[in-house]
Amino acid sequence: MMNTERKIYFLTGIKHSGKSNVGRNAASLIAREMNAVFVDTDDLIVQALPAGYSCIRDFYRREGKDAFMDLEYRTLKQYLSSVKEDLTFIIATGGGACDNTRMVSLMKESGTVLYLCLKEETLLKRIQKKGIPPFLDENDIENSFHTLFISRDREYRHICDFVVPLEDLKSIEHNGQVLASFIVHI
Amino acid sequence: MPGNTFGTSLTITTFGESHGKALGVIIDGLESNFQIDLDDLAFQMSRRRPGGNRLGTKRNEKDEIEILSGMFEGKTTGTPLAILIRNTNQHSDDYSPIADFYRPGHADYTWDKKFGIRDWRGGGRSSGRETAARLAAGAIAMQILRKKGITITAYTTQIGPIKAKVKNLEDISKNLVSCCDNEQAEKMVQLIDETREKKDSIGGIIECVITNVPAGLGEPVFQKTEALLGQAILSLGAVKGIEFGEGFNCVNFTGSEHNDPITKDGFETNRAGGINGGITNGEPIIFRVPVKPTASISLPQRTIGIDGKEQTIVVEGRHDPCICVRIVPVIEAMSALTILSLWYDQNGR
Repeated sequence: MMNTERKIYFLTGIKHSGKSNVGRNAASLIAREMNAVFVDTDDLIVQALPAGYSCIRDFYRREGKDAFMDLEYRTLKQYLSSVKEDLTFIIATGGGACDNTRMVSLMKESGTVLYLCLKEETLLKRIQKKGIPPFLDENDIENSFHTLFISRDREYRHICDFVVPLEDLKSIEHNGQVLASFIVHI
Repeated sequence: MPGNTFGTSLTITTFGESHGKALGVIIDGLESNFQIDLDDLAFQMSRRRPGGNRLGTKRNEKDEIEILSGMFEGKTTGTPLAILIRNTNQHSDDYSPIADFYRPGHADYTWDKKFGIRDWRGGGRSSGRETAARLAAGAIAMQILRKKGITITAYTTQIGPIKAKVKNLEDISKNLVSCCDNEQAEKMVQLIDETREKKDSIGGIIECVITNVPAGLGEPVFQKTEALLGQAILSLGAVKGIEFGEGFNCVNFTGSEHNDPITKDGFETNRAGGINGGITNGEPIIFRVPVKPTASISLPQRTIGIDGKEQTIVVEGRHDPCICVRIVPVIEAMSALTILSLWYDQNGR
């Protein structure tokens, strides 16, 4: 099917909510019906990193949160202005996107913001399995994640256009289908 | 027994579907010679009326009632009192595709399994609109109870995660969500507006207090006050539970802490919620009900068609983002019908 207009969906959510994996899967399913492109802002930021930084984490550690959010915003802005095709774009954002107010306004102006919503226990389990990120207290992971979850969940519910509830125990493929059908029908 | 009649000494039988010609109720067992206040009746109907509150559904119904029988020269005659509410603002077209699939969270699937046929227009008889008839009956019961000194007040204590912090009963009529805390009510209204924009819905908790109930109402063992109030309230589509007094929180007490000490001036505390052994003890009856997020939402949802095939649906229509806003008077009405019936059980009509 030919796309007649450009549609941009931003996937937001707390770390490990499946923005990249589920998003990529959903994009490939949608691509069967119409032209769809999946973009991960992390990949864009890696390309945009100034010389001398080995990875995003390295940049964040040395330059701080504000500098990272500025880079995150500028990278996305530049990508969006380079987009000319009338396709469906599915863009995964970083777990802290809700704190980046300039980026939030940019997303709201340019497309539809979806919040991929999962239960706190599920996200905590994934985090425990995949390694503790630096923003959590490794001596009290449960409590520090609880505090983070409560504030981010509230923030994402507030900034998003729509909440997409994803199932806890289902596969990436299953959740990809859920997200794809949501995007096609919304 | 078909499930359209409720009550013991006083019964109501309701009939009608959301998008049929009319809804109605037959109230049997009312005392005679009671002057019905028709203005108050109209006011009570307006509290639940679709379109009556900007936070509710955009369907606009006048909800004008016609009393067909059981009233002579403005007074009850003691014979069956029949009330008719005609449907005037049905937009069945809004709902036409729902004939072909089952809406998640609704009774479409279960009604089909049970009856093999359903009036799908607006949800048919499983629609919240059915409660308009109960409200009319309950409003009359409430007038009779008021004359006996009994008052019933329900109010919102929570919408989504936002809880009332104080219990000011004067605040209830001053905000759009019938909340007992004006300050928190503002946040609740904001949350409901935000939820509507996101095409989603949210639930809440309603508390109800019945005061001046004499000790001695309730018929052990199967028609205890909690059992009948439970049946009355749980018969409302969106209600998922009920708790009396301390309710589920009672597990956090020991017996010595939970028992309400009795003095010659009455009970010192009211953790029981006004009922012991299923019989009212003269203290206020207090109960709380969780109201689920409205099943009608306009987001894409996964379901199956009547042919059994999986599909994603979007149900457009005029939905209530939070039914708490309009269920408050209905909870009062069902409580009134229950208490008046128990009163007649004990004292006759």
